Amino acid sequence: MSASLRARLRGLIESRWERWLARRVPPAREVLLTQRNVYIMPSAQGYGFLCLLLAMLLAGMNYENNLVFAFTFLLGGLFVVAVLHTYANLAGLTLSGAGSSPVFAGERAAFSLCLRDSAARCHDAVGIWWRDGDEAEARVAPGGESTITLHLYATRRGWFRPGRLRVRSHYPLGLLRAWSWIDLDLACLVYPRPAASGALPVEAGRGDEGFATPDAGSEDFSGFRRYVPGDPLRHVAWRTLAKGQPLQTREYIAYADRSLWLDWQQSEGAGGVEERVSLLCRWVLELHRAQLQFGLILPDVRIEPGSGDTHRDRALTALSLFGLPAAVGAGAA
Amino acid sequence: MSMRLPRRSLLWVMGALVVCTAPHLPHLAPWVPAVLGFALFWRYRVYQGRWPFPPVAARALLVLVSFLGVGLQFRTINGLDPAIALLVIAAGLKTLEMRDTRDYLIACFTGYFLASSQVLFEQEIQHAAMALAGLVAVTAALVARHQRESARGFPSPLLLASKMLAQALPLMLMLFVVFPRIAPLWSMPQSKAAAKTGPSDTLSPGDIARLGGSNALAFRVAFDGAPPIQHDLYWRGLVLSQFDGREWSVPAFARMEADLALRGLRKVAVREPVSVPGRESVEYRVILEPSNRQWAYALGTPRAWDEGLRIGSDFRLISTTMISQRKSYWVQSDLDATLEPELPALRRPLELRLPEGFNPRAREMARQWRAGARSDREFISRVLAWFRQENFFYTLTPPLLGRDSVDDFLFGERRGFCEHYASAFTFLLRAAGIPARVVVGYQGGERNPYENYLLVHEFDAHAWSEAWLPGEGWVRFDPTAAVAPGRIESSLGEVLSDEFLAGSPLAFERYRGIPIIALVRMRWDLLTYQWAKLVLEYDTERQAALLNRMLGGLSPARLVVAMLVAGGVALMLVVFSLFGAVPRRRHDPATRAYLRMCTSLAHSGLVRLPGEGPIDYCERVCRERPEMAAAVRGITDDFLTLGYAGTQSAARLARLQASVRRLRASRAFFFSGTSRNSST
Repeated sequence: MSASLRARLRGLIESRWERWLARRVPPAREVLLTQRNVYIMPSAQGYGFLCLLLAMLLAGMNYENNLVFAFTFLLGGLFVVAVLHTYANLAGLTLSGAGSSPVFAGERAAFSLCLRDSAARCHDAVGIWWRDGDEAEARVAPGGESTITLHLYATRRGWFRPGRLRVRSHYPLGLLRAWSWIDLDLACLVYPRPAASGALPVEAGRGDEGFATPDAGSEDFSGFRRYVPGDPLRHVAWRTLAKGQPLQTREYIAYADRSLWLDWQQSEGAGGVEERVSLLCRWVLELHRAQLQFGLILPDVRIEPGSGDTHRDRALTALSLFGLPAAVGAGAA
Repeated sequence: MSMRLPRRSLLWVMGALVVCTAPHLPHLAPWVPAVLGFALFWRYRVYQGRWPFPPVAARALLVLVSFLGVGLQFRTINGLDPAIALLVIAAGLKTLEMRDTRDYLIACFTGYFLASSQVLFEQEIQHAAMALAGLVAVTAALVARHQRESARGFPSPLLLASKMLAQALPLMLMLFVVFPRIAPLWSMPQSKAAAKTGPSDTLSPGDIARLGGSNALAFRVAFDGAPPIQHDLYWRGLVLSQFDGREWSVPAFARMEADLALRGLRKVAVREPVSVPGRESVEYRVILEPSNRQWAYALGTPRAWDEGLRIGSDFRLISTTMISQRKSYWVQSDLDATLEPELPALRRPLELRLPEGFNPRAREMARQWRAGARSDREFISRVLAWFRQENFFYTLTPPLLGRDSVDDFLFGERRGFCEHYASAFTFLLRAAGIPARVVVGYQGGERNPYENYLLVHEFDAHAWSEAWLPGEGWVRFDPTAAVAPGRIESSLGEVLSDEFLAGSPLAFERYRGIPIIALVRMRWDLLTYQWAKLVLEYDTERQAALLNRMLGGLSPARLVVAMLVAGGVALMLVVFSLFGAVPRRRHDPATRAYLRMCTSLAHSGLVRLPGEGPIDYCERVCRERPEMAAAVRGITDDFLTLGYAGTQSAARLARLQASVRRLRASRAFFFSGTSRNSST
């Protein structure tokens, strides 16, 4: 019971903290580090250094040695000066997101960040990382900029928001740690993890069999052709006939007869929603690899048959976001 | 901060350790720096990729052997010297396992401590400078650890470290001045390695002559007012009343007094010394160089003295601590007081005692001469006259004497330094039944012409005699003055110019007759003296005086305000150098002219809004001030053409600049416009 209480308390504190941070350092595409959002404290080594100073001060007192006093104060002054130097190493740096490309769940998402100096100072050894990711270190020349890439494991499909970035610097002496939490409003689209196995459904049928909603295809109208007996009546161009032209059929998708349809229904055997999405993802990739045309039908989305990388990405995007609250995806780049 | 060490930083930390250890070499056993050198060499081979890191067993063995070595050498590890030795070894061995930041920083902090601890041994300007070099080097090593090495040139850590330390200097000065000097919280182990210098508490023939070969400084003296004349400058240090036939030594009661002083007792004199005040009194401050002995030097009869000194029953001053660091004390002395007008009956035999069976000829002569003299004084005059008239030589290189050293000296060799004369003279007096004793200290001193103080060197060490005469107390007699009057009137260097410092041909003191050398020597000594006075001797008393003078009164509020102001100014300078350095963008001439126009218009109430482009601004100005429309439109036009259309036309630029000038010249008109505007 106390454990749950503690967990609740921690949750409360963390959410408070997040709210406070969100107010103080609101998410933005571009963040300039200033005294508003840079914090500074002695590092572990800095506390060690302060202990050293205390030892020297005691030696100075007990030996009544003015030079030991002088050196103690010199190093103490150095510590104070280092506060300013360490702060200056972060302040005046502008960070912004420089894009990311989609990954599959379980892979490492790569985020590119752009660091730009806007204070005509050099920024050396600036470390950037997420709480559970690797740290990257950058150096920005005066007036220059530098791009670094950070990687994070994406575990779930959908929009992946890595949260607040930690930016920190120990430069120049390592005695102090200046840091900031910034939210660059970064997001990366995570495709579902492709299922490990699962053959393409046999009934991934040809052309028309897949048509469930006849009107949905009206946008993909591509032209007319001479009526052939057997054409569906609803495709007959009655209007042209009324104008006195010969009977024609409205042709919707030129290649419809050579394309496959992947339907949500076909994945029924896979299990839960995630497994079904994974299975569909696997099929999409297989069909793309085989350079076949395919369409995708999800309960709320329908993607007309097509091929190529763009088409595949559209299909994967639809799968990634399927069934997730729309609000999460809004505002994403 | 990644944990991996930048490759180059290893060189920095190794260099820094060398710089921090080098000043300790004089007080380290040679094997200790050898261990450090070995460790650094191995680490360097690892750095080169030639050798692997030593295995754990080898490191453990090194640690064990080194600790054993320290323990065997010092017999303890609790002390300053073993502590320094252990630190040096630890720093060296740390480099052998230095793979991550933690080890690196431990090595750096050890370096900081080593660099600063060397001033516990020596505190001269050059030692402070060496320690400072160590601090700079370690700071550079820290910078090298934390910067990305590929990006900058090799010396950049050193430059940044020097800059940061320079920026810390004002803070250091402020703290140094105001930080309260608290009395020691507990007593610390002192260095045992430091050699004892100056006269010892025993005197055998040849002892003072040995000191005469040293040009080291013994102490400096600053007089309040004019210093006494040269032949009054007898700096009493030790009184030797015990003679064993060869060696004079301090009697047991005097040793006990010294021990009591060390224990901090207020009154240490076995018998309260009694004296009759004189008329001639001097006040002075002595700054004693570290001698690792306990005696302090003073003129005549001390009347008043500083805390930290005690007076013995023979009127010598005793320090309550071993003088292992430079010690400064103030004394007021009477030059013509009467010491012990009554000699206690218990003391008399001590001051007369001579060992049986030594120096029979001298004993016999003394008895005969005393029998023939009417008074003690007459006897003493006869002895001194004998020294003067007979063929006695004053020399720094006296021959060795046999068992009956006084007989050998008086009737044989007749070549000796001051201790020979003092010893023989005192012997003769005692043999004649006059209480007498040998006094050891310094005589004379060299005046620094640039400031009113005297330098007393080891070669000024001297031995003379005191005889107790009824009604006069202890009276000083200097047989050396009878033999070599120049020694007392001027200095040893004048009298024995050939022998003087013959063993150290490079000693400045030997060549002090050469003007340029004398100048450099005295200037440098003045610097050292002021360094001692201003920095090393800065204590609670001087602090109060200085703060009082600087702040015009001492109160906590004033102190806090002064600290805040001084610290604030010091930090503002750093802030300015860091953040104020944003260079103003240098505009091209056309833009400059255009901006001048904007400023001009702003003065007349038409401020260009942020984000307002030149065209919009121009149109707004034209709307609000039709009378200026033509001028402003022309200027804007030219500016845009020059700035954005990429055309470089000198004529157009000249026209632009001329128009702006005209516009600005007619500002009076705009001003009237403004006032009219604002009044409506």
